[in-house]
Amino acid sequence: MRSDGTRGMVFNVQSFSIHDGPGIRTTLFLKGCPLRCPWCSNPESVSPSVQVKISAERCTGCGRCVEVCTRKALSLVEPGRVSLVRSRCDDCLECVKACEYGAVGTVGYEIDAAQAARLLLKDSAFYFNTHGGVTLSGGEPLYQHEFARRILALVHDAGIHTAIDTTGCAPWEALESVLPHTDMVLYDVKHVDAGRHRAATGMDNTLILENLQRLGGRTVIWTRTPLIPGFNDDPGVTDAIVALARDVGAQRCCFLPLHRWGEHKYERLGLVDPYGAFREFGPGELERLRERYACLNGFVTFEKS
Amino acid sequence: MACTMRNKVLRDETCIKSLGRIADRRAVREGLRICLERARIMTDVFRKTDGEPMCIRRAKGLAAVLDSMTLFTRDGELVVGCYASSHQAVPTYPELYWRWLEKAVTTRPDYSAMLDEAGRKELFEINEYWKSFSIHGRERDYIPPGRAWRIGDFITGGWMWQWEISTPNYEKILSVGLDGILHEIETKLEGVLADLSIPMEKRMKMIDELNAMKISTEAAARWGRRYADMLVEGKRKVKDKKRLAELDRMIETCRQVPAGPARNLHEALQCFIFITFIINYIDQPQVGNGIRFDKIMGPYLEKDIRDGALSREQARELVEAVWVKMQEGGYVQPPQWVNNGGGGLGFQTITLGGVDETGADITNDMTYMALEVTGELQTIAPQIAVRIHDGTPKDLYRAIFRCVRTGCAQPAVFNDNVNIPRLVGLGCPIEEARLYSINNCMQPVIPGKNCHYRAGHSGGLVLPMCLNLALDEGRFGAKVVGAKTPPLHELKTFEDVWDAFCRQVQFAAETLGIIANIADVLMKEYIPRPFLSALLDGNIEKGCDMRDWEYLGLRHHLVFGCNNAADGLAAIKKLVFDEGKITLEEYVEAVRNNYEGEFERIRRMIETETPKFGNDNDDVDSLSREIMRVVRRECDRWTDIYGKPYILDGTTASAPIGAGMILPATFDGRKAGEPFHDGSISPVQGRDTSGPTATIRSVAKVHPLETGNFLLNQKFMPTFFEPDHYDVMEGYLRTLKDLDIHHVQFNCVDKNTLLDAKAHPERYRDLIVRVAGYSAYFIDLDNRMQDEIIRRTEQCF
Repeated sequence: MRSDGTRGMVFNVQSFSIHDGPGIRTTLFLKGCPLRCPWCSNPESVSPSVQVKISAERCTGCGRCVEVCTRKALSLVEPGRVSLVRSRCDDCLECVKACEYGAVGTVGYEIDAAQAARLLLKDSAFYFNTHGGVTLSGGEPLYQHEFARRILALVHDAGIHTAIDTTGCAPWEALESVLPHTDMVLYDVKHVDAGRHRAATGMDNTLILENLQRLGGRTVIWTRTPLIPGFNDDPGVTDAIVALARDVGAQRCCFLPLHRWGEHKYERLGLVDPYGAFREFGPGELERLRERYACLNGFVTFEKS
Repeated sequence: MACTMRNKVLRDETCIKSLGRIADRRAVREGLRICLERARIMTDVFRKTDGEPMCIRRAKGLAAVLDSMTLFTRDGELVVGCYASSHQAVPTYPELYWRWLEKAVTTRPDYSAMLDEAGRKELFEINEYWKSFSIHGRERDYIPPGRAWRIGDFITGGWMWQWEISTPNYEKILSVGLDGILHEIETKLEGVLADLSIPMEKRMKMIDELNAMKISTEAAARWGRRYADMLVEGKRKVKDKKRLAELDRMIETCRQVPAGPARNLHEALQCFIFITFIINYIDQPQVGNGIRFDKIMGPYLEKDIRDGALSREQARELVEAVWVKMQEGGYVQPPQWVNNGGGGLGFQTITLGGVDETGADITNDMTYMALEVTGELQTIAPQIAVRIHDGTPKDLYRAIFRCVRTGCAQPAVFNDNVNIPRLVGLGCPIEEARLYSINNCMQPVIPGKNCHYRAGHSGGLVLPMCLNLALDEGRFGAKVVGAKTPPLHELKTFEDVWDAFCRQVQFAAETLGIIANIADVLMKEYIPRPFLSALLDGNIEKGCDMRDWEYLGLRHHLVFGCNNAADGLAAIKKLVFDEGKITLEEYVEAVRNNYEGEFERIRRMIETETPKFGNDNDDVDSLSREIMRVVRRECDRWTDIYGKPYILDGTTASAPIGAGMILPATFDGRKAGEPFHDGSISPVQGRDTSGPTATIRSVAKVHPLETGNFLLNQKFMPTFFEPDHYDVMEGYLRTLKDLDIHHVQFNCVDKNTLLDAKAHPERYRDLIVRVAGYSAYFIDLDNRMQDEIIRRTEQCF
């Protein structure tokens, strides 16, 4: 990674996504995030660097990775099934070199901004026909804001609609720097209360809310709220989020009910599966919320998980 | 709106005939019978007409069958028609085949259950008469030495029997009736009789042909009246007033068509079924159909609604009745074909949407009604093809998605932007190319024109096996089945390997051409089709049989496994020649040993280190393109008996699975017994890991106009087709159109549904999946095919 942002660290390119803005889009996922949300479905996005990732189904049980690991982060939990304990791992990647079967691999790679833009432009025909485009997500895409800015500028100059999917937890200057090349911002609002926000994510929401206020009126905004049972699904909280979205002139206020599609990733990264700590939505709970904002249909949306 | 109860009942009672119950390893559905009536009558006529011209004998044969075959109707049906003595039975065609059928009914319990002892005896007697000139088997006398041709000789496969494809001029039939066509034949006949300027031999032949057309067309015109008489007879037992009124209307309809012009929708639909049954089942086994249903039926619908003669609901019920009727079709298939055919091959394709001769969109009320009926009735016939073009209305896209969303795996979507230029390239004037319809699975025809070809193919060209042959001097095991190419040690560069591969492709394509041409000559001589000839433009005018000429060269070869071959070639190039990681000898040894033991290392190398088609990687995508260009070149070189080049066909059906089961390991890392990729250009299963749009970009590089690539299957989760996503999916389809993708088929079921269906077939009788060019009930597929459908990369958001 270079500080001038010509190169950056990403972990996935998701083509044909329809949940990250309008139309068919390609979403580029950048690594690095200041928040530590326990419901995160992209746990591999949190660290800004390359990490070890296990694909246990490929493991033959040869044990070579275990032999080379000096920190005892790897073990064979059963014959032919390697397992990782992330807290012991320093991502020296010796095990990755030792594995011949692709069972111990990595997540995250460096890419040139220009190369990334070329990749993202490949589906232009789809964007054109569906009013879609490109979305930078993460992690927090502004964690590598200069890298993000360069990609957005290249894509935008090619006439393609651009979006960023941000936590808002970045210096205003970083956010402002990408705006000339960004057609819309998907802005995460996890909670309106600073204390609750800090308790859940490890960070205050003061900067996030400030940035959102400053952003209002400067671009198209869709607020996005991961709807977590027991955390922010109380009508008092959701009402406040909807009010905030209207206040800043957002075009849409999206609620994304908790899903567990990222569950398998935790094991692959050697992390503890966090989803056990969350309760499921009770019967009719989501329907009631949806009902509550039915009159705002089109403004308030609930995505299917 | 749900479908009507009566049609639901009729649908459920229909014995699906051409779909073998492979799930329980039975080739033939329980209760299915062989009806010998057609074969018996045809044989009687042939015995009595010995010495007469062949076209006259066939015309008299068809006329006798139509005049004396048992007719039946089913309770509550609104549209009638049959082609065997019960809806549980199928006829046989001894003039086409006898050997495999005799063997099957003698040795296989499922086939022998289709006839009782007396029936078997009669079948053998009938066959005895045909043995000297039945088509199948006669090719043996004409095969050049050194050509592999039998079933099981894998590279080309040999031929069993072949379904014919041709679409009559339904518009003309409906507007003038068979009486109008007869008038045309008679006028021409009078003219020829009086015209001594025509060379005598030609003149006499024309007179025979025209007389044959006359005999058979008259008989077909009488057929409707026979049905009317039978309905009058049956009416006596009926007390229900409503049904009596219906029967009166049906009687009136059958008195009118097919002899007279169709005056309303009911008559048009009934006429369509009569003609379809005669030409597709009674005269000869013929798949495809190829009617542009909405273009032809739409005006009748509009008129009836406008005149108040029919309500929309009544019209829908009639369309449902046609769908149910079409599901009755089928043939008894050779045991070897059941695995290949899988399902659907007896069925008929109906084309919707597209443009007229001026290029204007033809979508009308009937387009939408047909799609609604398809989604709600959930029959597996007819197959539905929708044409899309730049002017396709938004509503039609939505109707497509609504239909797909019902889980019926219909329709397949065809791209006018590719199909029209392709036909123009084959020599068709653009005004006529715009009128194309889809026939059989995905072949275009120009309805009403003298296009005719066979869908059973002369075998298949398995491209990855050409690579195996190229690296073994044309040998398959101990047997030489390919061209003689240089021994391994002389293959010093990738170009040497490529050249040897191309030589094998050439040899195989040539073999296919030889077998197909022999078959065509035999068919031309022994199976003229005077009735169908009269319904195809130009034959009456020329006074000749449809087999005497060809309006457009649409004969094709079945070619598959392109991307297994491309992945294999890319791996050889990278591992052997570019990086020198292994020697060619080691590689060949690994393939010979099915990548087992120490060779597993090489398979893993192929799996992880070499590029695969379907990921928008030029290194391998360009090889796919080159392979298909070579195939196209070789097809161009070998012409059919009418002097027109062969073209490529994407209708692989389930051949890649069937062939995969019996063929050894290949150079792409595929082990013995595993299937080849489906369709003609789909990525190899599970190797397209860069998402659906990358797959499409790869496929788009192998341009259909340049190479003849065709079929891309995509299985979607149902969520794709929810109303929220209509706009996105519309844009998706429009993009495929813009990228010149030939056509796309959707499977709209999620993986868990499929897994559950595999475990609990009894709960999923209605689950339809698109296999490759056709749809089939999932529970009727064998386990391997089920696994295959499950394994195909799911496109998820």
